[in-house]
Amino acid sequence: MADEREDILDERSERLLRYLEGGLEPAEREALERRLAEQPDLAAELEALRRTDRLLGELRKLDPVPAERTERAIWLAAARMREPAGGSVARRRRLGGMVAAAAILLAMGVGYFLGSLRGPQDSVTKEVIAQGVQPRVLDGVLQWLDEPEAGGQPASAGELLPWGQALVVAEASRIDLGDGTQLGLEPGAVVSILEPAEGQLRLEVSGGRWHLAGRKVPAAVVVADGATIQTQAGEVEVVGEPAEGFNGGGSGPVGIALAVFSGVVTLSNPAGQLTLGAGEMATATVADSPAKRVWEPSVQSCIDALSRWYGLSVFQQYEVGQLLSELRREQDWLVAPHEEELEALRERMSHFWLAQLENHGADARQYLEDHARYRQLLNESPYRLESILAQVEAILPAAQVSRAWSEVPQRDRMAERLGVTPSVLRYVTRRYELTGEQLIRLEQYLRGDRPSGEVLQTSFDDLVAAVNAVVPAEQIRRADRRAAQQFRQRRERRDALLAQLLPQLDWSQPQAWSEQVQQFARRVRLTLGQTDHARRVAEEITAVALPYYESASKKLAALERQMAAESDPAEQRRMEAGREELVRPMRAWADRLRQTLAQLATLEQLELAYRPTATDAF
Amino acid sequence: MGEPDDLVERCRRGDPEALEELVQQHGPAILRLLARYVGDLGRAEELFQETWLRVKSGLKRFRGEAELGTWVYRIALNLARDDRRRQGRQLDWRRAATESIVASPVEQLARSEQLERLQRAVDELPEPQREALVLSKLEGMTYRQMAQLTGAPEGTLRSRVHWAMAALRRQLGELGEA
Repeated sequence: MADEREDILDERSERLLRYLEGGLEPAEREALERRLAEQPDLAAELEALRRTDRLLGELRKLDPVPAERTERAIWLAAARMREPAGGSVARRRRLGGMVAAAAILLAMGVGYFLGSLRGPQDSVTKEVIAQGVQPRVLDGVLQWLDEPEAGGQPASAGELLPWGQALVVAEASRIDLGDGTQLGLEPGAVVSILEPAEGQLRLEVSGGRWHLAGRKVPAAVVVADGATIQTQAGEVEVVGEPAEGFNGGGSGPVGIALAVFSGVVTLSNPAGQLTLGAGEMATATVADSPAKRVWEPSVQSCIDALSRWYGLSVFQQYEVGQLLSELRREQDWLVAPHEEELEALRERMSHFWLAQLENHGADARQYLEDHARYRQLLNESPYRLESILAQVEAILPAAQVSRAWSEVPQRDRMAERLGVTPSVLRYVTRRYELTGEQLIRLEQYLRGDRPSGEVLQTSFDDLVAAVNAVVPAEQIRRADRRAAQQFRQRRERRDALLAQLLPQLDWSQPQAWSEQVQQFARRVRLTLGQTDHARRVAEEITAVALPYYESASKKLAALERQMAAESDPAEQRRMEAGREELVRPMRAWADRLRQTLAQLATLEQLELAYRPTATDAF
Repeated sequence: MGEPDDLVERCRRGDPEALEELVQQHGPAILRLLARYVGDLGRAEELFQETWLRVKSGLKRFRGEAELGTWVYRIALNLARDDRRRQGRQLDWRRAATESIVASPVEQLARSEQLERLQRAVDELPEPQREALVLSKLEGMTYRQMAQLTGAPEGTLRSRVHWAMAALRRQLGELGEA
């Protein structure tokens, strides 16, 4: 490295850079300017450094943080700073060894505890994660460990516990973790308050029994039939038909971040109004008018939103966080794959109206086509947030999911009565073609002897079992047949689209495969993750296929010449078999690449990519 | 980075309004620095929150040896250094590009191939030189401010910036851009 440094920063460059910075003495500057006038290569070097400096200046002008993200981060930090400051700072002491041990546990992936919240936990060392900033003693008595300067005074009700401290529980105690969660500790337990990581409060508990009490959090707002939601940042109103959405922005001044799944809503505040359809997302803050966005929250803000919605426990937050991080690594997060096309269509349609207004010639047919395509994309495209919610719901207890959805005012009353989410009820009703009467029988079956006032919490399996109990067997069989048929149809449709869209990878053209893969990725609008995977597989395959082909093609050419000259049919067959042997690996590689592409694309992506030709359409 | 004495004193007393004022005053620049330093906006936001948590918890230990703003910057810079060390030197450009879909200013950056290559070249610099260049050329700090922040002598910082400039010039020159 030392040699390299010297290569890069020779005396000449150093002098020129100091000259650019105005750091040379007058005599040095004059001498250099004389040399610059005499030596064109030196002047060229100076000009190159100037250009680099100018480019850096341009880079500096680009703010890496969008204004709304800055605003949100500042708001959040300011809110945390406003929370009451910590006490007992004099007692602060780093638990170097314990923190290091915790770090090692974390690194080994065993530091997190994902157990049940119901009963007290045993004395194995566990880590507790919460969203608060600083824990506070609610009641009980805890003795500071290794703190002679604290004068032996124990921590008691109201005391804030600073990071880096460890305490042993003298009398049964409860600690408020700042996010509504309470940590209950029995005598003998040792609790250490670790340094926060990623904005989360972390405690380590060992040596005694403990439990966590769940918290009550207000659910995020979901737009429902006829509902109007008012927050400081704006108002959401359902237009016409029932609508469903998810507000990840909460109800505070930080704003609304609304994703609409179905129906149409308006989002308005004094600064403006816009209309959102299914699959669209918009934000509004107190200061800014509503604006459409591509939903792109950080993992943490997603966890926050989901916590509000489902009332996640601290452990569930961790689990959901893992899931979201995984999804984020695998996918383009929540960015809709057709976003670019939607944008292009919006632009073309607005140009059409401008041209109409200015009495220029406008292609109405193109506009109608664009409009139809736009509606198709909005109505049929899967919205990834919805699928993410489904995945999150899959790892949560059904009762919790049900509670989250059933807390929404004016939601589907039947779903609430059955104790399931509206989406589960929709699915089951559609699949088994349940009548209203059957739904009521279903409720009676599920309720059994329980009093009518008791809220039902039904798992998906229980619901399906109940359907099987109350619905005639023939209806169930019909539903199963229909589901199997739909599955078949879906597979056939997918095969048919793949036949149209998959590239024909010619075994004798391996140098073209990568480009063909790229073309397919563009046409089908594979996500970045999918594209990366396809590219990686293509690179791996061509890395072996190309050198093989180079060597095999010479043998093939020679073999083909021999075959042309050979008149003995038996010998010709033998040569043909030899040729096939040579070609077989190439065919196998091409097939493997095609299979990879076929597996990557979803039916929805293929549907979106497949456009009938003009002849088909008209 | 200077603040009135009473703001410093009020912050040390834990006055919530003063703390909020401190966040408002230094927050945007610190978030920008973190974003430039770690190259991942989501991560920068997390470090940003952690910075202020540390500021809050450490304020009573702040003895005024440096300016309060410098002290806050130093906390942020240390967090960013640690994070970068933990994450390794490679930035996730794919993710940065994805984020740029919604971030109009960064989108411009992504669209400008030349600047993107420059950004990549900056990222590939050795850590001390990269840090010095980011603080000097991208954050616009003087060598004195940089010295207060990092604790390194001004002369050392200057030669790191010069070394980085020469390396960038050479690299961009090879690409035919400088």
